[in-house]
Amino acid sequence: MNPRITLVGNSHVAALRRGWDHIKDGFDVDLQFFAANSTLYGQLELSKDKQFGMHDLQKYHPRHVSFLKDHFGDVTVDLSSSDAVVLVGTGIRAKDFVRNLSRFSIDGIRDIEGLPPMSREAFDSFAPSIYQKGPLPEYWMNWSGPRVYILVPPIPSVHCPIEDKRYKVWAQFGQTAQNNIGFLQHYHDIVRAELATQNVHLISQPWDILSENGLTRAQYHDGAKRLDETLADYADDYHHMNPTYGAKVLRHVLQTVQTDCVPA
Amino acid sequence: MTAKAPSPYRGLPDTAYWRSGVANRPQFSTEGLYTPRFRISRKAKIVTAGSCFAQHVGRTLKNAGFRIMDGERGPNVPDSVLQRFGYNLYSARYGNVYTTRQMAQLLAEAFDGFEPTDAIWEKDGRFYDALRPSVEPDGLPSPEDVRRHRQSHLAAVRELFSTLDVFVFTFGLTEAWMSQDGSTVYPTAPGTIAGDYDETRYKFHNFRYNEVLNDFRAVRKRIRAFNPRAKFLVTVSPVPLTATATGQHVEVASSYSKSVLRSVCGALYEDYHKDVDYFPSYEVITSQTARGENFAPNMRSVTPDGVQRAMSLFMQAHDPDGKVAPKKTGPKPKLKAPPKPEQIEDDVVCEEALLEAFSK
Repeated sequence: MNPRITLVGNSHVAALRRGWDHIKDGFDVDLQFFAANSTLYGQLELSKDKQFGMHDLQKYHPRHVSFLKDHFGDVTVDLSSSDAVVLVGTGIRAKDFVRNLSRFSIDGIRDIEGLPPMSREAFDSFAPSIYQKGPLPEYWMNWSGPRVYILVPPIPSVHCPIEDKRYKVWAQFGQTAQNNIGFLQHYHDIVRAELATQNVHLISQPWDILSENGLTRAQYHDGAKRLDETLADYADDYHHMNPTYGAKVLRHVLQTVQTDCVPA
Repeated sequence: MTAKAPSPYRGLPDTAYWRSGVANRPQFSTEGLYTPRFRISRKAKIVTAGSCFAQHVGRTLKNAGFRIMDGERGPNVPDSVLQRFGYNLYSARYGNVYTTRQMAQLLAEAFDGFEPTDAIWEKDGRFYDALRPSVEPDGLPSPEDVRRHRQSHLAAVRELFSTLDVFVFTFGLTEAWMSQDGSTVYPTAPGTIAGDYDETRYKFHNFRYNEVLNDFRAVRKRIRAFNPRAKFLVTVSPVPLTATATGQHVEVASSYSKSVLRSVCGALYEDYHKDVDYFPSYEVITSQTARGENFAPNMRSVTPDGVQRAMSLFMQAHDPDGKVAPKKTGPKPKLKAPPKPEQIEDDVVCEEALLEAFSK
């Protein structure tokens, strides 16, 4: 029997959904998607029997109700019958991490002349505190089943403009390519360890998706489409990725989840 | 026969008489204890340093909207995490500066290239900056790392002290440990946080009035060389010694130490009318009117209520109309609520308290 995997999340699900069309022949999985824009996604609720979505339609705008019905056939998705649930677009405060810690030269991790030094011990204390400022909602934690994963959201593309305040932190970070990927990997490892204590599993993006400066290579961004295709394409958006990204990341996700789901 | 002149003590204000100024004053009242010599403006760049109690002063000023400089700003994480590594305690990561010699020495190192003796201590294969051992509580992997971090720290100190407008300093101790040649003073006894106590290399010293005074004069002179209009706000920590190495009873030794520091502040206040002000936090906390209630049950730590009383007096004097704070929009900021009593010991980072771990 094929493993059943459910991807729930926000607008970043779009790239994965489109990528799936390119790779689905290579996987024996029962994959389902359930997504909403960030605002609505944040308002969806999880019932005790692991039904995720709208439980009281009066609380939602009719347009939002129609969106879920039209795109996913229902206003809720049953997570209890899945082997794995992958949360897509759930942030791990990576931007906050970069904003706060990339202005230091971190001993043994990111040595940059001219920046104030920070010891590895201080870094190891501060980085978890940054993640803990916005932890995962409790209702995703400590499930006995299905297995819960977080897929980290994309990092903006290498062309993101520094003048745009949405991208300023990342663009500045990208100006100095000094083990930027290793710097992010350290943070992911710290968050991964933190989440593991809650029986939640972090999936990083394949690291070769990133340019040396830590931002997403342009080839994975150009031509990105929105979750709702009836809306105009992303203009001046450098955060949402294209189907090439979706295919590569989803392949990585499915390989990771399938490996975990295979009985020993 | 000429008429007798009236007593010079007649007709003075109520605050000049013990009965009206103290005995009849309501408990905890601080009325009349402090009239600032100069006002600290919103724009003034304030640098803080000193012993543990100085942390309260800096925090209160910052919360009230004063421009407290931070030359080594840490990341935006909770204070409890930051302060473990010496961030957000003072205007730079120098840790507690207990003696005026330590302060003068820091500036001599930053500006004149003074090279301290035995500046790096080792413990269990890790290396510590002997002049601020608390800022890296686990030490660093190599002496070179310590030197590199210190150079960055000294650059921050240079920037701060060459550009400040107001220097707030809390005098803490007279007792200190020095290199045997007397050239270098350390903030902690060797062996307390790191290093080893070796009497061939280190010696105890209890600073005297003239030494403390001259050291602070040197600090003032150096700062005013950069900014002739710089102002100095001095206070004395009301926190008694945790332990003394003088051989005297700790209460007697404490009295000596605080008396010397208070006398020096008095002399500075008298000598430098234009630029030195004394804030009587020591008197607020130790006042007989408080009947000892500003101190925690250990009779050493100052209670949060005590800190609040002292700092309220400061804010009433320097910001009576709350004019400093409105720079930020929204309701007038209040002083932070005092922490719960059980937080007293943890609230202020004070490696001097480590001595307790070694006491009998």
